[in-house]
Amino acid sequence: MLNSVHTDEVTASRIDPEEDKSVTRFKKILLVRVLGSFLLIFIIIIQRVFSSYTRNFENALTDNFQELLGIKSYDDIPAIFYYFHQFRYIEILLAHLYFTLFFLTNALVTFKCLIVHFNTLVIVANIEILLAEPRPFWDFNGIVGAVCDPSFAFPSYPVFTIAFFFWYSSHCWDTDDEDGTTPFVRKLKVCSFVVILLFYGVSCLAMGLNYPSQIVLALLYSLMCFYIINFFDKMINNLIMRSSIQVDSAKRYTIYWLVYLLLLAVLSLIVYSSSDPYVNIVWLKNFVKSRNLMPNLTMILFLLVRMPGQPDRQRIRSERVLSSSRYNNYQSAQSLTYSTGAWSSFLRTAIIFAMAGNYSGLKPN
Amino acid sequence: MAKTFREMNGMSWFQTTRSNKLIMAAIANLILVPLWVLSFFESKFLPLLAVAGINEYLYNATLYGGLYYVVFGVLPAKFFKRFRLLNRDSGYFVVNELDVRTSSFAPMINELK
Repeated sequence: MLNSVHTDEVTASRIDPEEDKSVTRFKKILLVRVLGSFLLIFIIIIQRVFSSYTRNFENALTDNFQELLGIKSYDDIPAIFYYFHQFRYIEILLAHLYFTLFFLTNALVTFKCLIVHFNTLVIVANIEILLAEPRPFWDFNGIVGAVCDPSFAFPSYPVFTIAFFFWYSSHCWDTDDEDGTTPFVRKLKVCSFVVILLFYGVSCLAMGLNYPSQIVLALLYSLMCFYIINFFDKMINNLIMRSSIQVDSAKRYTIYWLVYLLLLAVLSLIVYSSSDPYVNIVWLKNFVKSRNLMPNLTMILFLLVRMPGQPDRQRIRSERVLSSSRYNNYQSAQSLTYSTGAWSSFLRTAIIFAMAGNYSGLKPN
Repeated sequence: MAKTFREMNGMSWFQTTRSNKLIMAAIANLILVPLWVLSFFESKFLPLLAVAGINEYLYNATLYGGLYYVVFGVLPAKFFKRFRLLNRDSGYFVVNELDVRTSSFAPMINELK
């Protein structure tokens, strides 16, 4: 008894009030994150259950929104929306962002943010295939489809990308020390985040690419992902540290990264191969049917005349693409099977990067 | 990244003067200019590349993989180092545990100095 009292007194005297405050704050943050994650998962489940009931309402809402903007055919959609929804341009914009942060702020923090961000994008792209939610213009003929995009819509990919980057970069950079973001930069970041998010939200609706619920839920998904990633923060820190600044272990970790990426690619391929090869859209089904039934006389004649004519064969195929007033066809003939999209792009880039990294990572100085 | 840090003996090479940081960021961004041009004209030459057996996936993977390799590896380890744009007197990063956030970076680097 005496011993226990004595120990308690000693312990109490050792506890620093500031340390006690920080522990209480940490507990509060942890509680908010756990409760927040559960609440978000609950909301998402509720939405999934009721999504089929709200679909008609959302169709009408999207249709009215397009009418409000004066969009009656895909020609009425501003050209800038097309550019900012093409993945190859988004990829370059992301590269600009990360290169600037890499050299202007802190290389390690940027590297951590980049790895976590791209990994979550791959996971979300796989979720898209598993949930297989339609785009609005597949479902309702009144909605104008800006591009005949053969990829699933839920959660909204650009909104998730922007929102997750905002949450996670705030976690990494918005600190109170001298290296942290200044209040002015923080305000600028919040304003630009709201503007970019509004732009993508409005353009997704105007182009008939996403339902409003898919956009809102993409925001919630990004927040949930951020909370989940935060639980593994220490592990990620160790990983970054061991594969970069701890030069002895870094050689081993270059191989681990390559193995991890290859496994992730295999997993993604399994998910992709299990998906429906043709998306569920009447126009696309008609196209596939007509392509299979159409006698290929032109092609045979063409092959007889000119053998190595791949570009011209492309042109002939593009002429056969059915045109529609409601859906914008691709200018050149492309594969109309499910677009592998972002996960594939990130993974193939990462694998090549890791292979090149292995070459120099393992090379002795 | 591993190679870059090994070249610098594990130093925090990126904590240099503001002007040097700006120059490095500008050069890294300039490297993306040819990529914009290639992206604009992608639809014109990709079918020709496809004839040669280089499909879109292979083309993009090599292009972007190479780009990240150059910017995160070759530029700081070779180019910026030669032009003395990096901080070569910085603190060492070889530590057992590190919170990779700016809040814990600054004091740790100062202590190590």
